[in-house]
Amino acid sequence: MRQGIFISLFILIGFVLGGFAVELVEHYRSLTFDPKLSLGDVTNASMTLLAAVLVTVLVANYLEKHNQAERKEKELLLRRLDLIFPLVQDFEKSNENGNLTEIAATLKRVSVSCNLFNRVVKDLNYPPHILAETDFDNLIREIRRLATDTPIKEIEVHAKRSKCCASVKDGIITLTTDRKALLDGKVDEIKSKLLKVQIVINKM
Amino acid sequence: MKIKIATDFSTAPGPRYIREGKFSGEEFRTKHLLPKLKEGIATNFFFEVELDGTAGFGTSFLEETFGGLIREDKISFETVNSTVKIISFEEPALLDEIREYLQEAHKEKGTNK
Repeated sequence: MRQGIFISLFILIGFVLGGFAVELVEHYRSLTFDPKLSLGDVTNASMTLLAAVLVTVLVANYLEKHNQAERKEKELLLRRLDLIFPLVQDFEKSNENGNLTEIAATLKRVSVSCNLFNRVVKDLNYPPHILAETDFDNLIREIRRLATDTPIKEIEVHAKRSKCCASVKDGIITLTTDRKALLDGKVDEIKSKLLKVQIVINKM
Repeated sequence: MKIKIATDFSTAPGPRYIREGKFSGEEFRTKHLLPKLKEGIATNFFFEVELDGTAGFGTSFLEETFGGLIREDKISFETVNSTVKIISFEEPALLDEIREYLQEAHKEKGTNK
């Protein structure tokens, strides 16, 4: 993206200079050129040419290095995101057997990875919309609630009649079908969000 | 004073109530957190509860541990806030979550009066 801005800037400067040169030639049509060349003229012209070549090489070199660094950075971020998908799958598997400790553990791995990713993006000064896209806190919190929350004893009897309840026995949590469907929906949401982040970063 | 859940209680925190399984929020609150909190109140010192280092927490464990202080043990919201400092570098979002559990328990307590 930054390279695109640089190229656009150079094209704009070229366009302005070109326009200015045309105006200058138009204005000084009566200019006469001295056909004689002195050693000083040749030296001046050579130095100017050399300086122009040097500046071009330096700018091109800088842009190439910059471009390479950006590509590498993107590659690393995308690789990091790839590593989160299997963690989400582990969480899904742990939900099937219902072991509460295992569910909390697999979800923590997802949460920590997402949080670290968000911190890296923040440290790299990515624009606010990318930061918002990589903020998984609310979604993970909702998933944690659906996967591990059980009612307090004061409302337990009433809650058990609800379609969206969960109960725990010997550390194994059982969710009602409705609650399970809601949880599956949220897990799909986190997968889609991860995919969207990959696409957005890849497009940059 | 500091309680590190992973070393002082368990690396694998469990469900909400003791009857639901091992290492519950209720057990942690009654056997570890509440005695320390009372000590903190008596000596006018605040203490820290560190969440890092465990396998992970379920919502019920956290709610029962912290919200339970207000709901079950009748400790005031202000006292909990001024005496207990919760720390988590691994999952900083948990701090906001716990703050909400405390606020909800405080609100419920107010409406039940």
